[in-house]
Amino acid sequence: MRSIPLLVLLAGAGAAFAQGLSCPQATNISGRPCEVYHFHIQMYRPDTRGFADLYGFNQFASQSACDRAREAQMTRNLVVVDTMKRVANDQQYQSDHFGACHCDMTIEKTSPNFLTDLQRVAQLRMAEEVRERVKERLLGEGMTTDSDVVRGLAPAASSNPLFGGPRLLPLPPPQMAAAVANSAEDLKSTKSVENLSAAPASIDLPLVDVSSDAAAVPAAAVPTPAPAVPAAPATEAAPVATAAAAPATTTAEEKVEESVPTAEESADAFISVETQRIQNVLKASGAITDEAVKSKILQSCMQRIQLLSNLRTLIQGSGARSRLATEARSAHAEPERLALVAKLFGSDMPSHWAPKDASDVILPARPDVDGEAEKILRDGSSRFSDQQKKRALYILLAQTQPTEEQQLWLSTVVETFLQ
Amino acid sequence: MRKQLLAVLIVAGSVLAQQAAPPAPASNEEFQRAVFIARRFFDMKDYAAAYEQFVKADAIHADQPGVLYDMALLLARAGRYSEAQTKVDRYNQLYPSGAEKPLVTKLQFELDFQRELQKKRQADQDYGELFTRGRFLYARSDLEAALKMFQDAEQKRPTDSAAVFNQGVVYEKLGDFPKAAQRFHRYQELEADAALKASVDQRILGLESELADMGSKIVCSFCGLRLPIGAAWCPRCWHGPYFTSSAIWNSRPCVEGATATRATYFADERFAKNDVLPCLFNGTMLDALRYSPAKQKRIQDARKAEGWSYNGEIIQGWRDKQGNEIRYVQGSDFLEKIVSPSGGEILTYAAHRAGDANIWLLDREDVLIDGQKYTSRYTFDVNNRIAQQQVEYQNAAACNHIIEMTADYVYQNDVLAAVKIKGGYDGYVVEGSPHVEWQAAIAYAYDNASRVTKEDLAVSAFTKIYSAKPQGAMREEISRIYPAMRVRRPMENVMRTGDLCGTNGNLLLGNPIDLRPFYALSPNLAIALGYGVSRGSVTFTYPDSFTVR
Repeated sequence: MRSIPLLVLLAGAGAAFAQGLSCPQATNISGRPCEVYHFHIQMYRPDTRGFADLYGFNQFASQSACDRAREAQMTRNLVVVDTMKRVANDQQYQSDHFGACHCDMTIEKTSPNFLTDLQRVAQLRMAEEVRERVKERLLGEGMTTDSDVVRGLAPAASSNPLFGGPRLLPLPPPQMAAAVANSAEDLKSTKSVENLSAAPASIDLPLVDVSSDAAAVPAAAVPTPAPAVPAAPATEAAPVATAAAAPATTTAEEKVEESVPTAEESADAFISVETQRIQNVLKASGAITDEAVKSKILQSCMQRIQLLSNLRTLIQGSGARSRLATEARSAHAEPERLALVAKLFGSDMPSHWAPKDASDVILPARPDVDGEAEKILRDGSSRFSDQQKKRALYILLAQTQPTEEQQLWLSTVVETFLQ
Repeated sequence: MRKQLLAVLIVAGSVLAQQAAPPAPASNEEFQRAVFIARRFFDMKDYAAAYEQFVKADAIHADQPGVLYDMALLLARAGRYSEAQTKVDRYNQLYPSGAEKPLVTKLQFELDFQRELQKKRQADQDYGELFTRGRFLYARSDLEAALKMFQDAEQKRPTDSAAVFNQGVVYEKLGDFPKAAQRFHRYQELEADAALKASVDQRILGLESELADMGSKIVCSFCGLRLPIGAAWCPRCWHGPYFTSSAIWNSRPCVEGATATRATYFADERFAKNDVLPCLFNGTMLDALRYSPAKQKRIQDARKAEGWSYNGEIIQGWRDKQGNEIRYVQGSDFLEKIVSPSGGEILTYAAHRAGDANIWLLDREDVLIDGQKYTSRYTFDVNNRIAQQQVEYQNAAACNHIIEMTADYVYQNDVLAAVKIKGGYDGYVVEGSPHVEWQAAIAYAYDNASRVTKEDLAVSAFTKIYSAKPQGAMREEISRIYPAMRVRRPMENVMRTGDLCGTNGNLLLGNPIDLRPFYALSPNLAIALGYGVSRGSVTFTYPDSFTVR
């Protein structure tokens, strides 16, 4: 029953006075978007039957919040008006006049509506004085202090609890952050093991010929002393020479070529000594305590063994009369060997090839060459020096197992180096 | 001796066996055939097939030196080193001076090398396993265990830079920056690669900057912002105060033996109640708030979990799924406003920089406590200490009086000695224009270790005078709360009854002495005094070891 006239009044009150109840300049004078909204009220004073102009007692962060507060206040005011008209039979009692929500100019110092702190407090006091008058009238008409109409005179304070809250907070417990997983990518992998496991094991030893003409008699069964171990250096022909206890025969073909060393013999002459050398290096590395250095030595030695195996194949493939075979065959003394190494792999190689200290066997990294050895070796332009190409040859032979086609090409490369 | 005898017996047995069955010509041919085929397979690099043929040959003429060697070689090539070793041992036993001896010796070297290699590989595998486990534990955030793995790795290979680097990473995650920096420096010493070495420069720089901050900064307990030690408030959320060197703000440490008890009394000296105050910080306030990246992250994560958002280190606001929002209006230097577009509320702040340091002092702030908004204005002395705080609020919980309060701080010997607070308001005409004034004082006592031992509050005066008769129906309302009210005469016993102003049904409404907005004064007495309460006393105890500075 009451709601219909109430709504009519509400709509009328809002529309009738919205135009005149606004700050002089509706938009923010500095051109910034409006940050504070408010609405004006002309509050009806029951004692004087006049209106009090108030515009500095409310502020809102948004137009929508302002509109909601305005509508709520209008509703509450109309309940009062309705009560006064109905209960007190005061038909002259008028509703408050509400302006529309707009940008609050009371905070703009250049606005005629600007309010100082004192003026704002005065506005608050004025609003409260009027409310007290209304309250007194309502109490006089028998309303109780806890009735909705009396309590509704002032807006109820409500705000998000996060808006205020304590100014000093306890720190969150440590376990809140502990569950965060880490990425293992943050960490480095060790370099001291990464290449070793992939290194090939190479045993570069020949078979021996076996004869069944005279079955070998174990030395332990023969009362005569065993023949002396041949003290011949590894540069000699493959150990197929007959021994007193176990005479092994050479093949007919080998006998024919005995006077002219074969490519195999040439290879063995050089390679077996070098194999021994690298084994000595390995042995010497046993005394090194630094595991990382030891590991690098081992890696270098394995690369050397690979290189020697490839070199043997190259010598054999090049033929007995090739430069490579000839030089390998004739490199008896240490200086001759190192000279050959320098010719093949560069002048800085001998110190690593025949290291004074086991750790010298480690080749310092040469990123300019090591990454693309074959490309450098095949390069026909003069972009790369001979030294770079020789280093590339070493790397290629030490780190790969060339195909037959590559071997053919490498033979040519080696011949060029030896010219 | 016994071993030698045994060897002789074995060899003799073998020889006797051979003597007992001399090789027949057919066997010889078979033997030669097997050896020939083996050789051909060997040339084809089919070592397994070659070995099979030598096995056949060995079956025909056992323990032939060449066959023994060749078998050993093939087994070695096949990676069957222990079997190869057996053959070599057999050879050495039977033919210590055999013709193949030089090759056998070389093969022995190879086998030794392979054994060494095997050992090395095992060691490498074990070492690599430490890294694998360390990475796994690190990924699972089991940082202590991961650290142990990399420390073990360093013990095994002290020059492996990766183990040292990883320790640095873990220490960094653990927040132990001094150790992290030390580890990264060590990494630089060990790492030979110049680019890798340089790659940790920035990291070390960052750590050292963090270390410097850890020595000179604290974090805001609300938003986690780094603040210089000595900052009173966080300028990006205005939480605080962070008076880390204040004895008053260190009066409630969370340490064994520390207590804080607040007793309040009515005006007639009757005891009102005891409150055991909870502890505030682990150790001193400085210890608790001292900056560390982990602590900062913890705070920020907690806020983010609540719905707060950040722009870098600076808090920006809060939002929920229902569309409710709180927006922090950040100026270039400090938070200027907090607004709630959904609720409409606005809190405004004004501040100034204190000296050269990046410390900001509030000139004005709006504080919301239990839904009640207070506006405070601060003034500071030359030492940037609060000298005065003025508070103004409209008590929406009672009769909407606009209440003003002022607190004047008195310092002696660098510590707060006393605070004098006064407050009051002028009521409204309809209710009889009441005028209310009260005065209170807070005094502090310190022990020899500069710790607060007592904080006493006493309301020294409380007057209320109605300058006119309440009007109309309000007269009845006032007479209900003050039956003996006389106009222009101070109300009797206001201190005992409290300042009442109206009713809400049977509920009495009034304006208690509300010290809550003086939160920067003390964490112990920022309370609203109950009606009639005129005295409060907080007593503190500390363990002997606890000191503020």
